[in-house]
Amino acid sequence: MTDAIDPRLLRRAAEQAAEWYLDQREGLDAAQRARFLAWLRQSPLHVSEYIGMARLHGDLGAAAALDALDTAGLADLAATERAVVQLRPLLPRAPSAAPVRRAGTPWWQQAIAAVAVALIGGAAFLHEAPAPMDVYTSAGEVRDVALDDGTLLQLDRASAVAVRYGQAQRRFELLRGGALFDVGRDPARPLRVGVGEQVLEDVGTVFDAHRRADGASVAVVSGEVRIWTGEPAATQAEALADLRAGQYAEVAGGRLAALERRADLAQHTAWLPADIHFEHSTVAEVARRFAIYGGTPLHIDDAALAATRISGRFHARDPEAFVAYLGTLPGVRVQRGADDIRITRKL
Amino acid sequence: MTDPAAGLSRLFEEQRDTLNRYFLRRTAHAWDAQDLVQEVYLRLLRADRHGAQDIRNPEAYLFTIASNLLREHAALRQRAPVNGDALEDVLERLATPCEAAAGVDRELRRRRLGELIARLTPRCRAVLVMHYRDELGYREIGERLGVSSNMVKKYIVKALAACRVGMARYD
Repeated sequence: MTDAIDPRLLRRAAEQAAEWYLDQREGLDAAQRARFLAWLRQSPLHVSEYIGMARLHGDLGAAAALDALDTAGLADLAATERAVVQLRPLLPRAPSAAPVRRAGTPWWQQAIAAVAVALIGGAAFLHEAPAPMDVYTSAGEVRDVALDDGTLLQLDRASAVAVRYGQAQRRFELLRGGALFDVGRDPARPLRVGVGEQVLEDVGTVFDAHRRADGASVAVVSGEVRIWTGEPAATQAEALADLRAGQYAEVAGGRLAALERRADLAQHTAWLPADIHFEHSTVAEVARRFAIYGGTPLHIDDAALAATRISGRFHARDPEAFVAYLGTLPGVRVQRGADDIRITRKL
Repeated sequence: MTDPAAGLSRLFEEQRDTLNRYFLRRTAHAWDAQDLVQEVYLRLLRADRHGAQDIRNPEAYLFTIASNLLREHAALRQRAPVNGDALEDVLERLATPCEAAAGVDRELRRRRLGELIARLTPRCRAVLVMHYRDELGYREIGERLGVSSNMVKKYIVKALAACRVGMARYD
């Protein structure tokens, strides 16, 4: 129904409708009422947007109640936003549509405004492509999120993570709850996770991080994680701790409160779902998912097999079913070693 | 729009029931949204001749026209008339293609709106949720976020417009 309308015009009408709607709630004086009526009469679009705004309002309370963050969490989230106007377009523009310049703001004024914003934003703005995203879960769900760089994020129940990927850094803020981070390789962009005052620096890893009342807890499944209080410094000596695979630490009040050198990872990741469910995922991806749960490491030695796409559901803590499934594929051989399982191609 | 190509007409044959349901819903919906707006607009303009000065509350006037039109249209289609003139009824009718789907559609609509809210920029989202869920005023929100009441309102306007444009794409 809105196909033919220029998106900018539509947004402007929507903003005006929102403003009038809010003003209306506060009460209009005679002069404002006359202006409001005149605005309505200006265009059917204004009528449609105003009715649409009223309709939207009817749903807002219920829709906003779906938001998983509490008031304090929202304030934390808002604080992560740069005090700079976002330049990314708010509407996807049809590729065929020629840019239409509307009367109102001349293009050169817009250009000057854009330059001014870029200058205010400074170097940091230019280096970090703004692609903010937030993922969260309700009390009853565990959710996984795959990111473009290959990083896989699994959120515990009642958790929230702000994702801020830039060109120089991949940054997560654990706003509440916890998550398991399976970090995709990208040596040019270190990955850091803010957990309250603590910052976790990853070195190619799978690890679990949870927010605690007075700090954080971290369990490392594979690789290595460095824990800092505040942003990572130049010297390694200032780091709070280096955790290796199989280790678990708790930080409270900026200090190490507990360190388990041989941690029970199954216990620390007990919140992970009992099922692994995937659709059209490669065998390599699925094997990686199983690795998160510990157990016998599974190596897929055949590139063609690793890239094969499969769908299914398995018990996460029982990789044997998955291994047995792989064994049924044509031309596939399962080799059991002392401490790993290799999947190869039959010769 | 272009005529359906030969391949499409075959598809229509195969999928007739599904498509019929789909198009029935779409056309019913299309009347609700577009024709009603046109008609409301024309009546608003016509009211000018009979003295616009008498319109003391433009919003109430707008919704009265809308609900009257809906009642007329419902009678025309020989369907159950819109009960009463409660604003919610009118808005609900505007938003849903047919009665049977009303409950489902409302749920779906709210979920979509919830998803749109989650995708807003952090400040817009925080401000909108604090206002509509936590029922905080502009000043209280401003104090929590360290911005002026004026800015809070601007963020709400921005957020509302983004939600409205996002929802309009589903219409």
